[in-house]
Amino acid sequence: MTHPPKLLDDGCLNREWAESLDAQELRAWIHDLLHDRELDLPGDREGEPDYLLIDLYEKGDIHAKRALAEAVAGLVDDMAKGATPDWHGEAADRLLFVAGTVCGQAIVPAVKRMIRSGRLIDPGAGIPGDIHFRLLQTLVALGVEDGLDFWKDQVAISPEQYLGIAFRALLLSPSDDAIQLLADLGAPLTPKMQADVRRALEVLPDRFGDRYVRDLIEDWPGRLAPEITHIVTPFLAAPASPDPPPASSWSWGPAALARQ
Amino acid sequence: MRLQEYLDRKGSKWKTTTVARLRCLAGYDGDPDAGPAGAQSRMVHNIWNEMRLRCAVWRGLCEGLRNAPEEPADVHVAVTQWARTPGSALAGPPVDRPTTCVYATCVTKWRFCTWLRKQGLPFATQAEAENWVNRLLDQPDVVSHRQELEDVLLKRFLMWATFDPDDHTCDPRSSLPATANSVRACLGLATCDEDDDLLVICYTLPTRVVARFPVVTTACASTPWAEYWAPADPGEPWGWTQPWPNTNQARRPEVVHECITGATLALPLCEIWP
Repeated sequence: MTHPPKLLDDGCLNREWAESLDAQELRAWIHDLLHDRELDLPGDREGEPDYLLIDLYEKGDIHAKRALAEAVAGLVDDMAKGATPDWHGEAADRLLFVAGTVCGQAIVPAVKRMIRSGRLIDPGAGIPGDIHFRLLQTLVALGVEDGLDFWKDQVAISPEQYLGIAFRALLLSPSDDAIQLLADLGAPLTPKMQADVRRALEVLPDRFGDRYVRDLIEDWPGRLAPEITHIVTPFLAAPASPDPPPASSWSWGPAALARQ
Repeated sequence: MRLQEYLDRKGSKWKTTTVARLRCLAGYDGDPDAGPAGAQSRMVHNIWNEMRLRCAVWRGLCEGLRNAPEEPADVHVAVTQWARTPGSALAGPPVDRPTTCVYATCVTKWRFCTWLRKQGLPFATQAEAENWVNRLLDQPDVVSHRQELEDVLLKRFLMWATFDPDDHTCDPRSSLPATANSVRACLGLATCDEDDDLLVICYTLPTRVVARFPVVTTACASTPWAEYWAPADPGEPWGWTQPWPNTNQARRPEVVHECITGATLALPLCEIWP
C-alpha cells in the first residue's frame, strides 16, 4: 500500500500518514516510537513520544481513535504476557500512560494481571518510574471501580506514593470508601499525601458541582484526625455552583469515544 | 573546546570513526522519507560548531559513536544517549545572572497538564488535570500558585528559559509577543504545537540551581532534537533563541537549567492564546 508522506513540509507528523497504516504497521510504529527508535518526530523541546500519540488520539476521528486504541491495547497485552522482553522502564511507563488515555475496558484484565503479580512495584523509582503506580493510574483513568480493600492494600505498599491515586479512585464510588481510607490510615499524612488528597478533591466540583462535593464530605471533619481536617473544610465553605457541566464537555478518553 | 580540537589531540583512529559516523548521520537527510529536510545535518553542523563542551564530554561522544553501527538510526540513538548521559545536557558553562533574575519558561498547556498526570498528581483524566490548571489560573495571587505547585516539578528533564536582558527583575512577559504562536516563533519552539494554548511560567532560581548556556548536548537530549537551535557565538554572554524563519521575531536570551518546582514562582502562571 502506498502511504502519504510521513511528515508535512513544516516537519510535523502527517496525520494522514499515521491513519493510513494498517493494524500491524501502526503497532510496529507505536512500539518503535515508545522505544525512542523514531528519529524524525515533532514535539516540543521537552516533549516525549507518548505525548504525540495522545495528541494523535485527541485530534483523530472515530476510526483513527479506534485503530490507535486497538494497537495500544495489543501492546499492553504483549506487555502483560511478557511476549516481548522490551516492555520495561521508560517504554513501559509511556505505553501505560497512553493506554490510560486512549484505551477502553479491553485492557483491564491485562492491567489487573500485572497489578496482581506485583512484579512491577518499585516505589523507590519515583514517578515517572514506578510502573505499578502507572498501572493503578490506568485503572482509575478507565473508571474501574475496585473495592476499599484493594486500594487499602495498595496504599499499604507505599502510602506516600499510592495514597493520592487510591483516594481519587475511591472518590468514583458513591459509598464513603474514600473517607474510610483516610480514616483508617495509621500514620500521619506527609505534606505530599495531604497535597494529593487536596488535589483529588479539587477536581470534583468541576465534574459534579459544589453541592455534590459538599454532600459527599459534610460529615468528614468529625471522622478524620484533626491534623487532616483542614484539607476538607475549604470544600465545605465553597459557594454553591450551578449544575455541573455535561459530561461531554470535559471527558476526554474512552468514555468520549464510546459516546461518538 | 571544539570537537575538532579534541579529535586533533586524540589521533587519527578516533577522528576517522567520529567523522564517518557524523557524516553518515548528516547524509541521512538524503533519504526522501527520512524526515524534515536538513534536521540531522543541521545538528551535525551544530556539533562541529559547539565550542563550550569539555574534553570529557567530547570523549563520551566519540566512545558512543565508535560503538554504534554506521547506520543513521543507530548513530542518532548514540548521539541522543550521549546527550542524555548524566550531566551532559547541562554541561554548558554558567551564565552570569543575578540571583534575583526573573526567568520565563513556556510550555504548551496540554503538555503541562499531561506532565502533571505523568508525575503522579491524582487526576484520572486529562480533563481533570486541565480543570485543575484552569482553577489555578483563575487565582490571581502568586502565593496560591506557589502553594499548589511547591512540590510539583515544572518540567521533566531540564528547563529552557528566557529573561529580560535589560532589567533582570522585570516581568519577562512584558517583552514577549502577545500571542502564543508569536511567542513560539520568537523562542524557536516546535511548530507542531502551533494553535495550542501556551502557559508562561515566571520564576527565580533556587540558590542551588545554576543557569547555563544551552549546548549541543542540551539540544540533542530531547525527542526530537531541538530544531530551532544553534550554539551561541564566541563572546556571547548567554545563549540566544533561533526564531522561526520568516516571522520577523527578534531573538531572545536563552539559558537552561535543571528542573525546579513551583516553589519559587515569581508571578502567577499565565495562559496565552494562539
